[in-house]
Amino acid sequence: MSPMSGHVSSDRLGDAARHGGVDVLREAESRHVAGCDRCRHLYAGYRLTDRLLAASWRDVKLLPAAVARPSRLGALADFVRGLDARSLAPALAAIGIVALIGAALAVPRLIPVPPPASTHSPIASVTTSPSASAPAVSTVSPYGSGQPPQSPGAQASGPGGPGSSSAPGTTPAPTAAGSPGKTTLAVTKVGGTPIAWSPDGAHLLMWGPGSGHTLQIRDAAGHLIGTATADAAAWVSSSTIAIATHSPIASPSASPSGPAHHGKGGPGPSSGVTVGGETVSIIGLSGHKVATLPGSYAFGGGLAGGMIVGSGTGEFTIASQGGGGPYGWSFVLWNGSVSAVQDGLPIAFSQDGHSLAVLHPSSVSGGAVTGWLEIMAVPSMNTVSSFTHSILRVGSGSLGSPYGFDAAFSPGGGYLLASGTLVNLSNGSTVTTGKGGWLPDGTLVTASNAGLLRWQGTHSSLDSRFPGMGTVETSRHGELIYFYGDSRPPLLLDTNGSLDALALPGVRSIGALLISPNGRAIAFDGRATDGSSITAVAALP
Amino acid sequence: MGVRDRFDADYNKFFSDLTRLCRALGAGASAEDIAQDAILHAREHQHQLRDESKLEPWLRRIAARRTFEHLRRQKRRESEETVVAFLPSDPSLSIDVSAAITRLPERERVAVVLVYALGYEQEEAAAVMNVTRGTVATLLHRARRHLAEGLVGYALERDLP
Repeated sequence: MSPMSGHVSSDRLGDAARHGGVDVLREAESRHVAGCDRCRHLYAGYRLTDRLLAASWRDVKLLPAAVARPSRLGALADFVRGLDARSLAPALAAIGIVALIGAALAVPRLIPVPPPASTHSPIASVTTSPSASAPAVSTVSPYGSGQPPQSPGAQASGPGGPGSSSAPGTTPAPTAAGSPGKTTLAVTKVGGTPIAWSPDGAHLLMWGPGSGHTLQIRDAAGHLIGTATADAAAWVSSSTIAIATHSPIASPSASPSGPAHHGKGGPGPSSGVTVGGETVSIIGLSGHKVATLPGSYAFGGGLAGGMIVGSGTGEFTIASQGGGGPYGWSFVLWNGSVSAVQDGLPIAFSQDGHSLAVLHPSSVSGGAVTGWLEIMAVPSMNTVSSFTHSILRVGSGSLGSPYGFDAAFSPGGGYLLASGTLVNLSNGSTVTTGKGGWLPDGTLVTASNAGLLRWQGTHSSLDSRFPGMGTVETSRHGELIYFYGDSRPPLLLDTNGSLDALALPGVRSIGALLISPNGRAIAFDGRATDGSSITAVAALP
Repeated sequence: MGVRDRFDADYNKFFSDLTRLCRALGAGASAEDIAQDAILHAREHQHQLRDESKLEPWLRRIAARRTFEHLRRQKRRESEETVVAFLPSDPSLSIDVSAAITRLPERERVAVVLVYALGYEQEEAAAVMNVTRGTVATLLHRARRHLAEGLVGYALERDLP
């Protein structure tokens, strides 16, 4: 701790936030942080910063007032920072107080408040007929078809794995003409942050409000049906969830026997030291424990949410940060039993669960990982392909961030879309496409500043029915939702090709949205009409 | 393959890479124009490139310089129209938090954008900024501290752990 201030230094708090929590601090420092508001809040600031830096980046429209200009006070603070802080401590404190007061008075509010929905209806300008004005959409997808659109609730079952994606697919044919219809949805508010829909779309996994360690399991209508305490979670199947819970003290003598996995060179059961770690269990929909896996796992690198990756078809992986350097990651696969330890960090299963994308990180920043890509067969864990020459950066998931990774196989398994980069898994070539999602026939749709793009090979065409910068989400069943960060209503394109503007009563804007795999419901967060934060679910027509 | 051939063969790649860079640095809708200009300028002045293996870093430096010039010109004609900033977008966080990036000192913001938004290695970011890798590391360290200090209020308000 700093002998001058008596507080834990900012750098130490930053290190703790980056490397797994206050547990990495010395005992005296931990005690101090627990009882000191200043240090606790600064630590929280670091955690928030790392979460922010790991998020996906995009163009955001702000009012000029939202972009603070370097103030004279700021310049003064910069100047003073360069001087001997110890000798100037009292002056620094005084300047700091003055700067804070000045900033509070002078810094304008950052949020560009969009006008109320009733006075702004840009969607009304979307008057083009989908059939007349939409660009010609090829009926053959270069990415291959996984399966025809499924009936709601069906599991993905198409052919998967790289190299098996040559079957042509058809994009959902738009049939509606004229302006989009308008459908008002019944919105049910729920507290917390949505993480993921179950593979069958019947349930939603959420982090509860507050500390973020309470896991909620809700049905599609938003009713709470189960809870658990967890640091990470992922759907294993439509009725089971893998969770990790922190074990503050897991002494070797207390460690369960079996294939304990501590990562390469990590403190294993025979190391003779007391270690902390995560215990991984499988729970049912009500939150009851079904099984506990042997061993404990070392989460770290700000990737807690991505440490468990579920296939939705009965398998999941558990990653662990080992002692083989800062990026020494390894993992095990569970598919009824625990596999041997493998190198790398899993980021996504293919839709049929037969392939696993694994990154071999060269750097980890908060929730984002940069490294080369390997595709492994499940459950054999044999290498299908590896692309050591191609470096990929994968950020955290689109919602429930920083939980999970922003990566998804094409339905046929021949391509991987990772944080806006499309990887051809037959040769490792990449194309920057922007973020988006897959339709069941293998069509890739992404969002751009100009609107929705449909991709054919390395070429994209603009779908003029979805104008302007937005975000696109797709369901495995084939629905597509394009939404904006302002008061414009989200647009829903269903599997019949009809376009609807969705009115969400009480909702001013959507920040992020998840559509259920069966296309029957959405979960979203954003701003309510009164300006407060809102998280809600709504059934789709 | 000569430099001129590389310009032609890899035009799409260069254009995509530079557009992304310009957008990340704040060029907004002008990113594509600036990227295009940068490539044309480099093609015309290829004789100035001493080491052909450094073509990409050279292109990035040109594009970055032009973006900063563009932003300076734009600043002189400030209007009340919306401005476009390249920001992290975490749906579970308010835009107030994302906008904290814009309050960083210029050089810190650029270093953060290059490394975190574009995934550049620190050496690559250093080449774009025409500084040493150590300087980039220092800027990133300071930026993280500034952001953490700036976000204390938000963390406190939300009672984040």
